[in-house]
Amino acid sequence: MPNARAKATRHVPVRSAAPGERRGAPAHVEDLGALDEQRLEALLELRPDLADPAPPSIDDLEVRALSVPSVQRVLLQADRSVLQLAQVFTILGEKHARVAGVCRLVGPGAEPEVHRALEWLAARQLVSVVGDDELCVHPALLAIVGAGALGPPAAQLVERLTVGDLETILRAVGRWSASRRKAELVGALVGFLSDAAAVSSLVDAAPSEARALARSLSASSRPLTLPWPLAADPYRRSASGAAAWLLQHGLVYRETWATASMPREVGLALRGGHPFAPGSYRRPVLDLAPLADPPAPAVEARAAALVTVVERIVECWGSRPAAVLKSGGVGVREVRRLAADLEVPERDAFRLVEVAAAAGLVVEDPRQGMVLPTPAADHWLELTSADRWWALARAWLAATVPASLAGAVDVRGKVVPALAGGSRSRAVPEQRRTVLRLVLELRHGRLDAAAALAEVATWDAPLAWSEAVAPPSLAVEWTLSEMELLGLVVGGSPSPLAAALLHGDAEAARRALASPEAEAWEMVLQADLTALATGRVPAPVRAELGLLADVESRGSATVYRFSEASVRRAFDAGRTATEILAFLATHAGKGVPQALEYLVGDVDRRHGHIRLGAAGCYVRFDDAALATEVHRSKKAGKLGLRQIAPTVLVSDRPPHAVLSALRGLGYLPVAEAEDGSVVRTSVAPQRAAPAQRAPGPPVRAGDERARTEGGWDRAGPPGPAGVSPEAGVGAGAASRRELVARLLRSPRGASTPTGRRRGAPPWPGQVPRVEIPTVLRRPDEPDGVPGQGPEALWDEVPGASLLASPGFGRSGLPGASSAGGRDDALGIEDEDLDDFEDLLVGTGGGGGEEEWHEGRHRPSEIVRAPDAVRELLVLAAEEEWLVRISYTSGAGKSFEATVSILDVSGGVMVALAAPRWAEQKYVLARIGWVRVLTEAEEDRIQ
Amino acid sequence: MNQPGAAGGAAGGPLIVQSDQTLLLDLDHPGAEECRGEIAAFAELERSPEHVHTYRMTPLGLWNARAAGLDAASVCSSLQRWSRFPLPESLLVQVSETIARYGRLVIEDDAQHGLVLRAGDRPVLEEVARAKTVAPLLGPRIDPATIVVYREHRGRLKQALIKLGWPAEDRAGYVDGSPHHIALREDERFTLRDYQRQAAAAFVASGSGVVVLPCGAGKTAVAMAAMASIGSRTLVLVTNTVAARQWRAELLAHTSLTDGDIGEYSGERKEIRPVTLATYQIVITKRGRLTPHMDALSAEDWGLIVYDEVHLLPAPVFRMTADIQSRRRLGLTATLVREDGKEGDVFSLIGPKRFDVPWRDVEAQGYIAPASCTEVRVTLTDEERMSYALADPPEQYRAGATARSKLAVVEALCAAARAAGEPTLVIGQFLDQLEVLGERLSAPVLTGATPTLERERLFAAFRAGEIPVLVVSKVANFSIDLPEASVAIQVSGTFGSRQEEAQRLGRLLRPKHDGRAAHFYSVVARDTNDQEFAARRQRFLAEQGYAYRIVDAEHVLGEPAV
Repeated sequence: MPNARAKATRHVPVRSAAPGERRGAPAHVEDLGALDEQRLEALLELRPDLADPAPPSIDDLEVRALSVPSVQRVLLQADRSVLQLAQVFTILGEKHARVAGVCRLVGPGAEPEVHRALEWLAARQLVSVVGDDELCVHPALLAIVGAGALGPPAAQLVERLTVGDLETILRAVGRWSASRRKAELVGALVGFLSDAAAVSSLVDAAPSEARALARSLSASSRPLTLPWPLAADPYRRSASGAAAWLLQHGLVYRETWATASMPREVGLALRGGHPFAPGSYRRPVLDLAPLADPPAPAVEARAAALVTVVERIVECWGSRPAAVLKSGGVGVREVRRLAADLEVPERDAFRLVEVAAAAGLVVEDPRQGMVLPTPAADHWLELTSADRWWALARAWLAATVPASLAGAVDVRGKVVPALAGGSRSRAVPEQRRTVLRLVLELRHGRLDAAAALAEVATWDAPLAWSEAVAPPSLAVEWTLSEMELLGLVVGGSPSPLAAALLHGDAEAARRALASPEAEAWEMVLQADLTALATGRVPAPVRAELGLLADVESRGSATVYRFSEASVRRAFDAGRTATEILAFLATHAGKGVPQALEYLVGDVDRRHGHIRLGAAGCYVRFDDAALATEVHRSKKAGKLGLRQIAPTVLVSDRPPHAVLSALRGLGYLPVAEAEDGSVVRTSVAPQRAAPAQRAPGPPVRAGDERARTEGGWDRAGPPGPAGVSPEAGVGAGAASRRELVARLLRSPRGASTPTGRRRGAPPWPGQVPRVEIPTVLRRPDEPDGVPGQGPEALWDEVPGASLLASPGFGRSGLPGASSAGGRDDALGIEDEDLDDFEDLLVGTGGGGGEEEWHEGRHRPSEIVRAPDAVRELLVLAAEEEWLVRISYTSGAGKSFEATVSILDVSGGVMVALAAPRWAEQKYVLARIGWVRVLTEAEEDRIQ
Repeated sequence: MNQPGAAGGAAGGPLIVQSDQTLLLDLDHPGAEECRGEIAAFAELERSPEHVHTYRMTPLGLWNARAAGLDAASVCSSLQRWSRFPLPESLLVQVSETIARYGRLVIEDDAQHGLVLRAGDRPVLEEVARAKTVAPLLGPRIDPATIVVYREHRGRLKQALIKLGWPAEDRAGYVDGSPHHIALREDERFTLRDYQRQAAAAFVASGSGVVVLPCGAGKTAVAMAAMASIGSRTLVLVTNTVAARQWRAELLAHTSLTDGDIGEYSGERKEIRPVTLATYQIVITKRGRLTPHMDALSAEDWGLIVYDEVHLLPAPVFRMTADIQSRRRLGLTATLVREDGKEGDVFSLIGPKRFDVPWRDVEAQGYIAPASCTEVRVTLTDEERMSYALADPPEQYRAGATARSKLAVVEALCAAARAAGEPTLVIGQFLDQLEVLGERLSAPVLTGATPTLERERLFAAFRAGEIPVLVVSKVANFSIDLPEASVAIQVSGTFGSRQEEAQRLGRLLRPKHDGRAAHFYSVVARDTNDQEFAARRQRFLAEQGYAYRIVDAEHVLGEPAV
């Protein structure tokens, strides 16, 4: 009965089937120090976990080898005959068993299997043969495998009985003793129970119900549940029924209050003296004809297809990351979209995503809530095609979750999302290896043979399959599908890649994949402005081509189309016409068509003729001389004016700041409205605005951000507001400015304000703080030179409105402040603006500051009016107060939640919800009421 | 092939099969021509530029192949035989499954029940019988696999079934129509070419379908051969009156038909004779809710209906065609591509494609002069650019296309052509531009307003070489015959439609006596949307395999271009 396992371990230097002849085996299984070099090496090969990380000494190695997890790990690979043998040791209950006894117990004719299993265990140092016949068994082995679903030993159960109960039983089985000493009574009863013949005849004579119950108990590991009166008094004379009969005749014993177990000896006797079904220690034989080896090109094609499609995943999710479901993982909608992009079946798309993730090419970024490629993916893309395949296949083999679990339908009828994580198990790679080995052994791996293969696979590694998420036949089917996808099996027949992967032989895989034809490639350019790339196009060429042209169709070849837009993209990326044409001429096998050359030249001619940039405002002059004068004026230099045309200057400062600065220099500028007309500023007497808002800061950064989402600031707010009427107003402004300037010069650590928690956030994923000077510098200044510019400019405008001015410290380009809440540059900026306000408040200043300060007290009332709710949320967001809200979900479910607000905009609040601080979106209109938590409440929560 | 060791897969086949079911044929491969012969039967040629031709397998194309007797196994084995790389299993399965959908449903004439829809596969019959679009077209069920079809719904049923993806095989046959003897008169000046004979034979064998031949490849001859084989009263639907007159001339010249046998049914005359030439326009003309002419023509006992330029067939004619499914139908076209995407209607109502020759192949056989295409980019003057910039968007195209800077280029091109003795056509869309051109080139201008007689006179003069340059408007684009034009200059055109391009090139591609090359110039205003349309034109022409060059106007003005 050859076993795959036996083949695989043939190199173990244990040749003899007779354990007694073995040399170099230590007397104690734990004694690794007694092993010779060769055996120790073999041991470390068979149990690699012992050597990883390298143990400092042999003592450490021994400790590690004794540990239950290590033994568990090695037993994942043990076949059924080995596990049964281990169970026999447990049944025998001895650390030192005898080979003959073991063979007897396993069954007649089992010697070869027993010896083979012993050899397996011995090679892994789980059993050691002492002398001729005696075995020394690893203690952890006994602890792990159990006793083949047999109960505890009789002695253990009998000892708990009272003398009276013992006498009752002994009388019932017809063996009473004159002695009333408990020890003797126990001895007598155990003696009876160990007499298999006597037990059998007792059971045979039992009432039929009791007999049936006894037989069923002997076959399973489930204890007997006692009915209530029996549980209360198991040996009551008046009790009747099968359970009572078994109790009174000593065939079962109460173990817990309500359950009883059958002693091991009784169970063994009822099983006919052998703990396992006859022949179960033999490996099942399958009637599967070996299939012809797959043709090499088909294998290569399959492997190449895998690599290409995973590349596409990286490409797709690199340009448009996949959203993660709230419950975790990538949902079926994203995967379906990906499948359409990749032109693969949806089920395969799930598997491919899992493989890509296992290889570390894509990963969930918890901050973005997106799955996107890793830096490792870039490295992977640079490998040769064969190495890329190898990386994927290795990752697949080692993954601790079945790749096919994603996309499967669970018991609730829901599709399991990709990358959902779920329970990971070391048994899963072992399952894969088992199937891989089996398919290689049988040269057969067709899907329709999955059930048959599962039967052998579960015999080969019962423990590995015992914790499978799916029934073994389904799990085997999954594995076979995955192997087809990877090219390990092609058309049901194992490819050379399968053997290479199983043996970790990267060279063999490379050889199988790297035929000269497979590495060939070609690029053809045609007059209809298409390019055709076939074969293994090197990554740099592919990338460049992808920049220059758009992909039109994929498959064995990739068809690209050049267009004005695609060529422009290359120019945008910094290519020149000469470079592009040189690239094309170098790689195009059949020359560059004139039309394409012309296209490149034409784009070159037109590229960059229109230029644009961001500016805070423009300054227009009637004559160039005046413009030059202002531009060259030293005092105006602080405005950062740039000349973009003879009569036009631009500045990054907002219009009102420039306006006042120019006025300060003695010029007489006027503001211009959008339509070019002059803005007239009337000096109307001031009036109070209708009361809407609780005392608080007049204009907040958050509001401003909402108005100018996207970072484009039109040249200041339209109308008279553009020239800030409150410029220079505020008694404490000067001292505040001074303080800020001083603080900005002082080291960051010294200025941490008190009164508010500024320590580590209670939830993960919040961005680290950025030093104020870096953010609050003028955009045109080089990094790390905070300084004169801002100080001087603040002379013109009050701090608050300066803070509110968009474009300050931002990139100023649309899209630069994309969604992402506080995690993006904008969020950082806002936080630092908060810091900045803290500094302002910290000084105490004049009357204005008093009001300002009051605004920061936590409101205690419950707010319900929609406007007030929004206002309070905005305030709470800025102050980082936790709030309690009541909320009605879209499904109509009402609940309350404690949240930390990240952002309030466009009718939606994004917040982290306690206690997990998971990011949630709340529609403002559905918020019933809001209350700000007190500091004491906050402290409790945090 | 410049890579070291790059065999380019030449060791493999010439065909690369893509996952989107396009087939890329490498022309430089020695087996390319043989491969083309096999795949052309089931895939449609989409692009034929210089190195790699693209074919596409569509359900329609595969069903066309199935209708012509090709089965899934031979399609798959062709693919496998010629493919350079191993084929994905799924593709072969998909192809087989698509092909297997054709003919599971059959429309037959049952001796007892008349027209019936029969299915070998009952679930398919159940599926389609329950479909909302099909149910009203079906009559009572005779047995589990047979349903009566109302005769008048034969066409509509086929239309509906193809939309469901279950094209029916129409075996119900055709009525023969009133016989009328027609014979071809072949002599040294006119003989059927091989491919014309094959096309006619392929059509006659099946009874209905479309023959795809490039302009100038002699589609009329195919129709005449088909008419001769069928020998019955024939209705020919043509695009306009001029085309009708040309058909008449050809029929009189090359068949036994006499003047009295041929009738014209147009806006000007309403004659119904054994062979009647009717324009699309008159057929779809409505009087209130009625279409009297369509009804009058439909009532005749035709044995054959010929649709000239099937890709231009107006949608109402499909309706009429749906009602006369028992007549033999021959579609003629240079391209199956319809701008309105009604290729499926052509398939189901007129019939599957029966014959197709790639343009380049016809050209290589010497029947069509090779053409070279040159786009001349004219830089507008500052003034013209400003007027382009200021024009309202609807007028912008006109402003760019009619820029006066183009005139000098056209003059230079014409002068060069005249020097070389090449008859030249100048084609444009805008009448005022054409008038100006006519004056500057001292050439007659032919527009829609030109009376038919005058038009025919000018054409005749042009043909005779008396007029070296003819300026024509859009109307000249369709179904006219200008055999001697070997240079065409396009100064403006409608939005770069693909059909228009096919037509314009068609004008040039007529056979020449001496095998001279034809030249096609399009004069394009740089940096205007004229140029965008030119880009589409460029793509189409390059895809058709024509050498396409772009030159600057200075190049033309500086030296003789022809």
